[in-house]
Amino acid sequence: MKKVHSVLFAAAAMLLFSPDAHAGDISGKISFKGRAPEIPQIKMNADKQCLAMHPKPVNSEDVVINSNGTLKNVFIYIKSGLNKKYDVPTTPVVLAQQGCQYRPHVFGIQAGQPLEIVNDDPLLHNIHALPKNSPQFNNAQPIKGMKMTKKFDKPEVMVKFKCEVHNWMNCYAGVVDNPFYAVSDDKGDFTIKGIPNGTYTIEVWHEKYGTQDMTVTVGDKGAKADFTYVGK
Amino acid sequence: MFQKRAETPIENRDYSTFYLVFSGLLLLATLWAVVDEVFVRRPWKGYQSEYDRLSVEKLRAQYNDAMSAVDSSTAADLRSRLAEARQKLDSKEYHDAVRRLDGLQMDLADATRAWRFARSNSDALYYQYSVTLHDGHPSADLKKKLDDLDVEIAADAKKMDDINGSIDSANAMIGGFKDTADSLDAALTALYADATKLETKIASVEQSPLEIKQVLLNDYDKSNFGEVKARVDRCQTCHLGATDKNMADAPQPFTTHSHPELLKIHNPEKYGCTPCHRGQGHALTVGEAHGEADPFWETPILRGMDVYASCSACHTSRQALKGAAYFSKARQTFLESGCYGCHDIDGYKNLPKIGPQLNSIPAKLQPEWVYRWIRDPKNYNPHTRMPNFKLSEKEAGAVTAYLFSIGKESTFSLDRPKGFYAGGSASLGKEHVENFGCKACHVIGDDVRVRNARGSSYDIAPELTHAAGKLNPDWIFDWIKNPRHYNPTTKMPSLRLSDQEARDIVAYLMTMRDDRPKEAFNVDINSEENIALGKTVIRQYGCFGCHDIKGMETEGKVSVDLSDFGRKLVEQMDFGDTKVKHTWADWVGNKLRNSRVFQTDRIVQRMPVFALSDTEISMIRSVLLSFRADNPQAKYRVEVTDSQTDLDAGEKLTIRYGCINCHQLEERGGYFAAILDDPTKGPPLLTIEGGKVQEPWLQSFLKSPSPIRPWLKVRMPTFSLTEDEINTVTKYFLALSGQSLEMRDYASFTPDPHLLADGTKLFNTFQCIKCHQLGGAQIDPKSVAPNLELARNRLKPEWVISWLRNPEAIQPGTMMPGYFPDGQSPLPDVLKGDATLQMRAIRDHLFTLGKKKN
Amino acid sequence: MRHLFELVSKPDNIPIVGLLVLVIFYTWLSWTKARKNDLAEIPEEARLDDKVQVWPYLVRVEFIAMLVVLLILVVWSVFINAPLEEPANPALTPNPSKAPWYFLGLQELLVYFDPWIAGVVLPSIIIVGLMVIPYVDINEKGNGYYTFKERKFAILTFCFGFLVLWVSLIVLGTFMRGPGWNFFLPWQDWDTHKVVVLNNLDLSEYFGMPTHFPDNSLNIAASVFGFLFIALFYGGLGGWHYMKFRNSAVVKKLGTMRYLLVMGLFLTMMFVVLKIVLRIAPPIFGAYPVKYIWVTPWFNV
Repeated sequence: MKKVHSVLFAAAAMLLFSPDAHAGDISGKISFKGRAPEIPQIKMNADKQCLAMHPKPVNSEDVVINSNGTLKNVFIYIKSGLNKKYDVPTTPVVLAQQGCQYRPHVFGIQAGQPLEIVNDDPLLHNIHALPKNSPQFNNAQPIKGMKMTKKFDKPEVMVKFKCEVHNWMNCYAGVVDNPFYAVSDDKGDFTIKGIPNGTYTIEVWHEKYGTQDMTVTVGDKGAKADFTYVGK
Repeated sequence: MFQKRAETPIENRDYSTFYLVFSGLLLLATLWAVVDEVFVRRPWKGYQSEYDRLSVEKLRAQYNDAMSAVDSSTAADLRSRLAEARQKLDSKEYHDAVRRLDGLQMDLADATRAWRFARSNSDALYYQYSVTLHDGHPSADLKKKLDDLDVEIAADAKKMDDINGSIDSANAMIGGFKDTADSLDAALTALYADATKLETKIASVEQSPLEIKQVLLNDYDKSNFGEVKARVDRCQTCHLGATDKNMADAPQPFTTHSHPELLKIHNPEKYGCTPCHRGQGHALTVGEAHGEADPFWETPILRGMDVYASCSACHTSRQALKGAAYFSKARQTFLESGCYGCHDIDGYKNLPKIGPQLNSIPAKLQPEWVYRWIRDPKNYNPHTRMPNFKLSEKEAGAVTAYLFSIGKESTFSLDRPKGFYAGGSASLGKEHVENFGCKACHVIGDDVRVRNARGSSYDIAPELTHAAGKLNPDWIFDWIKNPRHYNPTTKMPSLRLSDQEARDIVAYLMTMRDDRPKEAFNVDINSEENIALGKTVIRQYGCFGCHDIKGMETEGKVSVDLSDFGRKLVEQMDFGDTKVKHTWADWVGNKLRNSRVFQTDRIVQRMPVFALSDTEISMIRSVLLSFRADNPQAKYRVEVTDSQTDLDAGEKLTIRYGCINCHQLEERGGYFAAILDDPTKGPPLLTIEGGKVQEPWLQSFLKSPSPIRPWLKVRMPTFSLTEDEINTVTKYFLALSGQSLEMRDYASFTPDPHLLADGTKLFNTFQCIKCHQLGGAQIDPKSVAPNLELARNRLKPEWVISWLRNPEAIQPGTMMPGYFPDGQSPLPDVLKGDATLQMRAIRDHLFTLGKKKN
Repeated sequence: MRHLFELVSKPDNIPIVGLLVLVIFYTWLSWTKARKNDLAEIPEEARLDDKVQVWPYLVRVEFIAMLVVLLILVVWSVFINAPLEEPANPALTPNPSKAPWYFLGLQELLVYFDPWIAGVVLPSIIIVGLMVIPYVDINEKGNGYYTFKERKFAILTFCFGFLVLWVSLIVLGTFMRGPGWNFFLPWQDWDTHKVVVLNNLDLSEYFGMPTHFPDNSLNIAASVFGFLFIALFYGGLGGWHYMKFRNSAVVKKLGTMRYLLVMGLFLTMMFVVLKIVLRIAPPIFGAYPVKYIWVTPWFNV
């Protein structure tokens, strides 16, 4: 009993010194400059069912440049500066297989958070995740509407997914240990909300153009972080 | 009679100063000795206190983390509710209830006593009454008394029941007050469980006494006189953090062991540290314990990778060891370097010679080339395994003369007429060489990817970059069509080339010209004197250790036995005129770097000069270090079972034939993948082969391979293995899967007819043929998975089930997806969703696939 | 020089070094006192008359000595560990393998004599000789005081036999014999691979008489020659001395038996020296060392 009391006392003491809950947002834009690469079309000839689903040719998603000259599918996360443990959300991140493509192509997830993988196609897909820090998995989803839930034990930026049946299918997940991450959207914008005040190193990752770092100080009013990738 | 002296002489000198000074000094010296004994000579006490301090520091940090991890709002809530509940306990009703319960308990005790007394009175009375019964005069008086007592007992029992009832209700009432508080208290304790646990740990570390921590290995060693004796191992008196995960970043001697996975199977609390690391286990000061400061300790600590040399003390039988990739590679290097050609070594006896036979070389080579080669093999090919014997011009010429003289007596002749090789296309030949897998063993031109993947300084097959300058094209054709024709014991396999393919390859190889300047050659290879001298030189240098040479069949090994070389003492080593440091490791290192280094004007050395890399020198040194005759007693060694022997033989064989150049076997091999764009398009993993394929299929496949994966360009060669060798491989693969060779009738496997319909349905639903193919005729070169019609005669039925259950577990990284995540079927309506039954159904369907056509 | 320091500071050798200092000191002490007494009319010791009783006057001084010795031992034990070496191994003899230091003089004799002479005969003679001393010492002088003049023969013989032969052979064996029992100067490194010339000739071979014929059979003439040489050594030297001093008071007082005994022991001691000299000296003059003087089918001397 005595021990518990001392624990209680210590807990009460800690409560008095718990950090202030001030927080802000980081927002920014991922611009693209230089020569735009040629975007190849995906050849789905190997699976006639896939081919039939796309009357129009489909572009490869390796590089997606938005109409306003920004870059889509860039993963942004806080690389260092956070030193608290964050609760792992129980709401799953959903990864869908639609028309023999992954939706979304790039996404973020917290380590330990459930990842729900859904097959929306009436044909066999298999999802082969290739993490290095967590165990790999490779499961088949032969039936439309099949779902499965997986998770990654440890942070890793990025984890690649591929489909062994359809060699053009792949996607990437940024596995991090905090809730502060984002993926640039159709306008190249992103926002990470509710970051505690402090100074952080944020990193952006692109499938083809690699990573960039920036140091950002977040106050109550938030912070801006714009990045530019240059095509070669 | 005795005359008493009038006066006893007295010495008046005063010695008290001497007494004072020397007793004082002696006291100081004694104190000094005590301090020396207790502290100075026991530095481990300091280490242990420091470790405790460090450990508490880390635990405290964790404790603080655990405290901050507790959700403070939950804790505050619980605490306030607990306080509230406790407050209620202070109310009058609660105290009244408690008091009432105490009164009831007393009443119950009284009632129980009254009941028990009445019962014993009744028993005694009944005895008296039964006596009267026996006498035939039952006493009515006693009977009445008994009846009265029965009434009394019943009344007492009822009273007890009543009181018990009251107690229950009182308890329920008290419980109503108390349970809330108790459960809140428990919840709070649970909330801080981690922190409390850490606090207990901190206390236990703080209270732990300073003590010598020793492991006693009974009957471990043998003394020099052959007596079995115990080993005392006290390393963990200072190395306290070996198994403590917290100490990963702590400095030595506290740091966590760098290979915790090895410690899991070699528990240091049971085995101590010295069986692997050596050193002087019972010593407790740094230099003595490590054995490095004690010139008389014969087994000082093994530093760096040398520690792996200890593995073979207990693991006596195997070449490769899991978790010791370095040492497996070291043993591979040792084996491939052919040390056993000249040295007798336990465990390396009766192995095939590593070099080719030299009895028919006129068909293949020119004397000029042979002479140049013998003079300095590395000059012709820096990556050859043939070492430099540093022969003089005369000696090299004489050896050439002898080899050509026995070549003339050879019965070998080409199968085809001269010039048959002509008419190939060099560009096609280049493609063949790239596609068929020649480059898995041979380096050609600038393509050194496989060599780099192997990571050895030597190749296991001749580099062909200058083949045209060396080889006779007629001979090349004959050789690549059927290598065993020229050399019946060669390990070069046949790739089942058609005549045209062989012609193309010859054409390609003949473009590999050698335009480098050559030494002049003017040796009379027919001179009797040269031939006789050549024979003597070959005898002296022991060429027959690696090559079959006619006339030398009965020769023994030319050099010393190395079976106990790890224990050779520095005093027994000759350092010549060198300034090399007088240690075992320096002698061996220098000898391996330049085997003639200790040669003097008077002492001739014949060991040839190798060109090993620094890593390889260290590796071979580790292997030599492991050659010790003082293994621990049997109960500490890994038992040498049949399967261990099979594994060892198989490992040696697969190294010899270069199987590991293409295939991965356990932790090594698969180097060919380096030249493939997609490693999944390479030769398959063989670690699992024994459990996977039927033995008759494996044996017939090894005899005459047929393509399983037609989309692969690389060919599985025909090695023309002997029956013995095929058995060795079979047993090796089986042992890798934990099986042994037994007769099994695979043909008698019959699919369950009740499952076939569902099997077909599952087969179609799972869309297996999106990747796999069926039938030999319509082989789709784009398919990425094997022909399922082969399964019936190839795969073990039980293996198919485990493969379907979890392919990733059997072959990590495989393209085959798992259809039954966590052993659950995705189709609950087939076979009632029983996953195992579904797998059996698919398997049974597969095993009908080939049959339908027949 | 590092080697010399290591040699001298070896825990095994420290007591030997200490004893050496003590031997020199006490030899010097006795010689100076003897010289003083010899020059004076009455020995210094005779002039002392203030004798006191053992208890407590001697005992208390001895007690101080005990304190000092204990002090030295305690400090010694703090600084120097027990000199343990590698575990004994019957398959591996240490090189050099040395006897305990007090036997190193005898071990050194093995270089010059056959084992049975160096290891059995000579030690027996030494022991017997020491036992005989009280019976052949007929000189009554020199009791209780230092003197040289009055005991010249006894003291010179002792100094030669103990200091020169015994102690210096121990020093030689301890500090100057390295691996292979080869000779090294104290500051030279003990090189395991040192190679030295080991060419010896038997004495008779100097005079053209091989001790063995080509078929390895003994040359009787050479054997007889050896015997005669030794007989000449004992008989000649002993006889010469007897003839010269047979009328002196000392020889008379000794009598024939005791004279023979003393002379025999003395000449044996000198023979050991002769053999050592015959082994060591010839190379200095460019000749081969002498191996044996007398070769017989049973033993060689």
